[in-house]
Amino acid sequence: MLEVRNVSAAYGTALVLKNINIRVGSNEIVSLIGANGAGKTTTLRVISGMLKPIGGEVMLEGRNIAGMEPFQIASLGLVHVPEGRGLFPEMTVMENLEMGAYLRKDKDGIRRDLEFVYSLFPVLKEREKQLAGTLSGGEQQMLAIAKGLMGAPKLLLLDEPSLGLSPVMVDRIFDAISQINRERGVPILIAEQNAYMALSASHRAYVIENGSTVMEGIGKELLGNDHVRRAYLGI
Amino acid sequence: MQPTLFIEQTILGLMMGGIYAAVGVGLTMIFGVMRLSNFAHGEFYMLGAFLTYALVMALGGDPYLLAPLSAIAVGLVGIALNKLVFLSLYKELREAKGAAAFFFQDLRFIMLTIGLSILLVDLALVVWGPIPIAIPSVFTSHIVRLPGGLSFSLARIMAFIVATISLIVLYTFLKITKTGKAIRATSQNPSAAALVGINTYRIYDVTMFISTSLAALSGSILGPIYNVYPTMGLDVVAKAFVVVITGGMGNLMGSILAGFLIGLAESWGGLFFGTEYRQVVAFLIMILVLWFRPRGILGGRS
Repeated sequence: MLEVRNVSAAYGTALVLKNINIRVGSNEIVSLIGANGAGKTTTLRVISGMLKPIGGEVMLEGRNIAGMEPFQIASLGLVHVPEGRGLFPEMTVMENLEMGAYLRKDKDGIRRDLEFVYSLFPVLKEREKQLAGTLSGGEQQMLAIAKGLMGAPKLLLLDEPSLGLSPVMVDRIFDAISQINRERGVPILIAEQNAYMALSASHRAYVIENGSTVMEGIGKELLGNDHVRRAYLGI
Repeated sequence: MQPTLFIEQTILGLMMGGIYAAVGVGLTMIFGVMRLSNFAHGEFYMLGAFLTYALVMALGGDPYLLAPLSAIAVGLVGIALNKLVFLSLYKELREAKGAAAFFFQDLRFIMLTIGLSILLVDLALVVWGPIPIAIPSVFTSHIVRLPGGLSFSLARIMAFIVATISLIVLYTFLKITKTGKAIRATSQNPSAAALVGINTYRIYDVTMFISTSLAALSGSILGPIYNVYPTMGLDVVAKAFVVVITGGMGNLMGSILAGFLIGLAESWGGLFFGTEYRQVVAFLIMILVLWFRPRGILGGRS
């Protein structure tokens, strides 16, 4: 589905990504774990076109998308739920969901997906007419994921879905992520600081350190890896 | 003071406020969507007035009927200039700083809009000359008399009606159409807008069209009331910035409210302190509002 090969990227003259290699197969949940500033968010930004890489390839379904504009990449079915959740704060919950489906023309499909996200997050239906900026942090995260799903993603990128949420809410969000993958067969790439949650929920994972992918493995195996346990799980 | 005079000035102030609102809304949209302070905004107002004059001379007919035509033409000029002057800079800035670049902080954009303003004023000087021109309209000489001794020129009433209709149409467009929603989305979160698949460069074109054609429409409908001359935009752009800042930068409803407030304040200021104080009152209102609400009446983008 997605293959990131030897990608490097910079903000101005500061090299932030040196050598990133990631593969996401169809129907997989893959997570990127690593410390703050290691390059997780930047990696997602490069994949969705928000930042142009200075080297390497980003292959989506066999096609190199590196250097394309974000709206062009979005039209290929890649949906990125960015850092800060990417909501439109002065629009209603319903309008945000509509915007998520901006590129779609299949009215029936949109209606079905709306029902699916409302069944996934019933609170969003209750808050349908409320402005997104007035929702709680947990509700905003639900809306962010729901808005991403409304784009009928072939691949979903989630940046820090657990950020700023209570432990109960983190559980609910990760349950929903698993359910989306299971029921919809959507492959998902998650950048996450909460290594324990991310590794438990993923099939496979990559460890990013100083802008390079340094380790790769089965999610549950990495949970038992000594380096990962010491550096990211605090055990 | 005669109550009739007071009521008349109040209504005139509100009618003028409708036009300030239209000019201000155009300017605030550019700021909200593109994060761009367009110092050439007044020149689109001027171009609209001159183009309407040219149309009236060429085709005959009334400026109030030809104003929409001139507004569309100036809107297309706006799109062309946007592509020609600003597009490469948007792309450069986006690549350097990521999708959410803040253009208004970039000196190049400020200088480009100031340069554009000078260029368009000089162009008008070459084409139409420096002498103020009056656009002939049948509505100017019609006086509407209301009970209680109130009277207004039909041209002013027409100008107010056209401004109000254009604001209602714009509001509805932004509220219900897909493109309108995409404009609001781009204004609220530009990078998220690009991520849902909105071509934000196209949204900039549409916004530029709306903004410049609103300015042109306003110039056209005031053309028969005041004179038309190359530097007419320079007075208006100062007023438009007062409206935009008072209402909250980038806030549409704020600009509409502020437009009426400034129109009313000017009218009352002229009535109570003498017409030479009209301009002062507008700036005084802005300073007062910013004392208590530094982000404007309804708050704006930081």
